[in-house]
Amino acid sequence: MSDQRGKLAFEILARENSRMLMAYLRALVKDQAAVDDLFQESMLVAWRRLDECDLSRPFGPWLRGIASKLVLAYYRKAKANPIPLNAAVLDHVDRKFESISGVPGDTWDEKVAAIHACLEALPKTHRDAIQGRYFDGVKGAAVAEQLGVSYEAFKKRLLRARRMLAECLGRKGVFSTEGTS
Amino acid sequence: MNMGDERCFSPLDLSDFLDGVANSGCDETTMQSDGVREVSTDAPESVASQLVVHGLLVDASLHDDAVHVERVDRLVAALDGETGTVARSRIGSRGVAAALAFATIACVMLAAVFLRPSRVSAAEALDRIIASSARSKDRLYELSVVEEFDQRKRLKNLSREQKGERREKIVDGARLYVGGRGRFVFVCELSTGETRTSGYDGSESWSFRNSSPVHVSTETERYRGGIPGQQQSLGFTDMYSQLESLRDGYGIELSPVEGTERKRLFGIRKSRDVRGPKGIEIEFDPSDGMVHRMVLDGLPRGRGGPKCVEFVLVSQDERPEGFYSHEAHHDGQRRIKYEE
Repeated sequence: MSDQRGKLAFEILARENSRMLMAYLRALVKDQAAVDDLFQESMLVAWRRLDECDLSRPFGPWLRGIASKLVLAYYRKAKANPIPLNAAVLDHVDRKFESISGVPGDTWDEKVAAIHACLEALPKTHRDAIQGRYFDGVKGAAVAEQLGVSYEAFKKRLLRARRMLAECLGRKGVFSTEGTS
Repeated sequence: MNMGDERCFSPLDLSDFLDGVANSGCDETTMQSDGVREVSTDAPESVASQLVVHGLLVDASLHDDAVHVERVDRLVAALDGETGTVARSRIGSRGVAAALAFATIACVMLAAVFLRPSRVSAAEALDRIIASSARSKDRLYELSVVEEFDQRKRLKNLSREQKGERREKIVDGARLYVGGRGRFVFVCELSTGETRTSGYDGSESWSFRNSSPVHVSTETERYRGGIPGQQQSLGFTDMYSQLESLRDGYGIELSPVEGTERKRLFGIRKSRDVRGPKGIEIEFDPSDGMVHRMVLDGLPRGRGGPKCVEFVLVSQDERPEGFYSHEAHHDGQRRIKYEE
């Protein structure tokens, strides 16, 4: 394969997997500027190491493997250990993304469309917490005040809501059936 | 962080990571006081579920098709700059025997590449600089005026409004903080003794003086006019977007900087039809593309400002979170005026 054709092939793979990679990085890193940097870095490392990639196998898991190492390096460099991102957790995260990739649909949005139905199915108190936390652009303390609960209670409500969403996504076949509780 | 660390962690750790820290430390008593244990302390799979759902929600809330297309295009542009590296690694993987057989030919070809003034290598250097500028690494540049226009000629050619504008801005000594993705903060003195601070935080442009309200707009280009070169389609704060302008509108050459590891890129405007300064000189680190010095010479006089300006990198210190938003630069009492 010529370099030009190799680059074109990589560009197609990169575009196909770009939304998945952004969601993966957003799952592990909060700082969105860092997510952008890690996205670029992951793709560039993948490009440099393309010779090492077995293209007869799915590209996504290989790309996530690179990204996970860069995420760990990012936390090491920042001397931050916000959560113990151990091998077992990363392995389960990877399995869930692999499960999503198997959902019918041509685009990432189609593959994860079930999350909107799952959001609608949440009890109102939990849906409001998710709406305020993720979609209204309001700080957590302000959302908690609006909902009339303490910040700690608000955070626990978010944990419960995300667990319910995970269970819903499991029922709809988006997450693998390895258990979601 | 230890990849082999299989220990489990409390829901509070996870909650703090995902939703912010209200209390420091892990208060087991508080955590269990209401009998709720959202995530088992021995279930990495549950933690993974929380993380993935969080990622999907953040992605659903932040995703913007146009921004993502730009992100991927930026990557593809960066791949062009990486082509040489990949090509070299592939040649290497073909084996020592083949390498030896072609060694002589390769030496001749490499000599031909490196000994002639190569537009390709200059273009690759430009790609590297642009890729570096697009990164979210904080940089602080100080501006100094190398040459002013003849004031009488200049005033004669300026409109009344432009004269007023010229009297206000003092570019010499101004500071430009650049944070990648087009984010910047530009601080310059005014002839009245006041300070004008303007910026873009990734979603809103803003500007204010010492005593004025903060003007905020969603137009990304709204308050960039004070930065030399910016108004002439040479966006130092968002160099990536100016790739085609630099590459196509300028003849570029690469040369070493004596006594340092740095390289110097000279750009000469090809014709008057190209908007922008007549000459550009960029001194950069070839290892990471970081611009250490930039000179814009022959800036058009029609829009005011100096003739020749130098930007010098003075700091790469990381700025605190929120630095590029206006709230970080004034007290909370300032009136905010949102503009259409």
